[in-house]
Amino acid sequence: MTRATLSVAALTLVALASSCDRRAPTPPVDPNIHVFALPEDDPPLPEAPGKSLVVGSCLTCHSARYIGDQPKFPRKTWTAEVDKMKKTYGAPIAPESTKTIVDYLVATHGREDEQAQ
Amino acid sequence: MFRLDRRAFFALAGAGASSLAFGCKNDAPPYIDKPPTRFTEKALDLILHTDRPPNLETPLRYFRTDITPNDAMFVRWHLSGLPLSIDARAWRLRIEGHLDTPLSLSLDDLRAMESVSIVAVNQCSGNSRSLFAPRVPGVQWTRGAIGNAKFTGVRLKDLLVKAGVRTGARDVTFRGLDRAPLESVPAYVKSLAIDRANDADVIVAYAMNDAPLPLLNGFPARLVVPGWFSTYWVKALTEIRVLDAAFDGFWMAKAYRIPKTPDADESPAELAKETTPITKINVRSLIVRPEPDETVSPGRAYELEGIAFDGGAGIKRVEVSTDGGATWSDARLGADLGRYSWRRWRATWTPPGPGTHAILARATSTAGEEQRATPQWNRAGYMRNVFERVDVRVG
Repeated sequence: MTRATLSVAALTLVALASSCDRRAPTPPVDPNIHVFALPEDDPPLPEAPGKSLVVGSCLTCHSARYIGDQPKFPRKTWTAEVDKMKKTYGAPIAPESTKTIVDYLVATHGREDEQAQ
Repeated sequence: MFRLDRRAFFALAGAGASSLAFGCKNDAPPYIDKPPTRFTEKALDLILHTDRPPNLETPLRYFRTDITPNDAMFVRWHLSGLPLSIDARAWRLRIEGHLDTPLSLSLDDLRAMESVSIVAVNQCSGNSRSLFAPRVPGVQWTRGAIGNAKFTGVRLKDLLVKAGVRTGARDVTFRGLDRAPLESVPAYVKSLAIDRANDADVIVAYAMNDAPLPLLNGFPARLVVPGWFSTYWVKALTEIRVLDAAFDGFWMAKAYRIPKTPDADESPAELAKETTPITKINVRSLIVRPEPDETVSPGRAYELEGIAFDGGAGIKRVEVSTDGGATWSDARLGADLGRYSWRRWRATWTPPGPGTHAILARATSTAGEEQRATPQWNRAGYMRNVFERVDVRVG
């Protein structure tokens, strides 16, 4: 093992062990430089028809947790949300795809409108 | 460049993992394949709402101190293109627009100017959105999209004087280093009317609790507008622009708006026709102890505790009810850290016997503003300030 390998392995060990610590990691060594690593632990979206469209149209701008953080909205609310994402923020959603995305959200994280039941 | 010796890496990683398993008392089980998300400069136990962009809520237990620690201050970003690395030496704050002398200031330039410190409540417009009925879309905060900290920096007013604002100035806009993920997504730009911008309490802060701002809270400098919701407290501030016209950008004209009705109340069946930008924090209290899932012992004195705050008048009175709102008595108020700070309250309660008891709290500001007895509702989930309530199990 090279010296570099050893020191990296040692750092890894320290990093793992220190994840027990509930406090924040020690401040940066150079107070002028702050670095942030975006975590990559997004939960997988549930399998259902339309999933690939949701991945392509929604997850460009935000992670799946943005969907999971919401309550199980009725179809009406999900429809309005998808519409807002499209019209207000320019989400790349083709007109013919809107219903598929709403169907996916209703099926995996929503419910039908009360009056429709 | 070097490559890790895989065998050595896994052996050591394994050793690290077992120390994780043995070393963490009171921690959640160590799911080695999915460790809890750690955010730079942040405590591990913040409540994760979303990771990209990051939105983290502060658990109630952190509100047992008057000053919220930097690693526990809540985090709210709108756009996933937030700055991932900032070198404070290269950072500049540009002050441009309807001015005699546009400026480009370094952090050292700011530090060389007269500094002011102010303790202020930093509260998200949508704090407690998840408690709205019916529920509304947005980050589903419970009660922890709030914190109280000492902010140090320079008066915005001093910067504007230095830049020589020309007559006819109307609005001042603020922009940070964050970028939209798509061109069609509006950049996060907020504005203050020139008179508000010239208020001596508005500062460009480069320190929170005497330390540099965590990157997720706006390093190296952010706007602090005491008494107003955090939507104006633009993080990683990089551009201040003085306009001789009204600003009509998306985040003022279309987002962060409330019904133009008393307490921002409307109903899903009848949405208010007129809306206006959200501004001032309305009076509210929080119950910090007991927490919703806490069980307390009968017959033993218990110290109820919480905080109360408003948009800058200061808190005059907090009342507590231990019988679901039938009778009320005054709580004791704690240290006064300034009119923009929250104020601690305490009240002693001896739980009468086993069962569930509804504890309520309501605050009144020195301006006479009171909390609502019934919850308001609005489409965006803003400004909740109904009497606080926690149902406590005694047994």
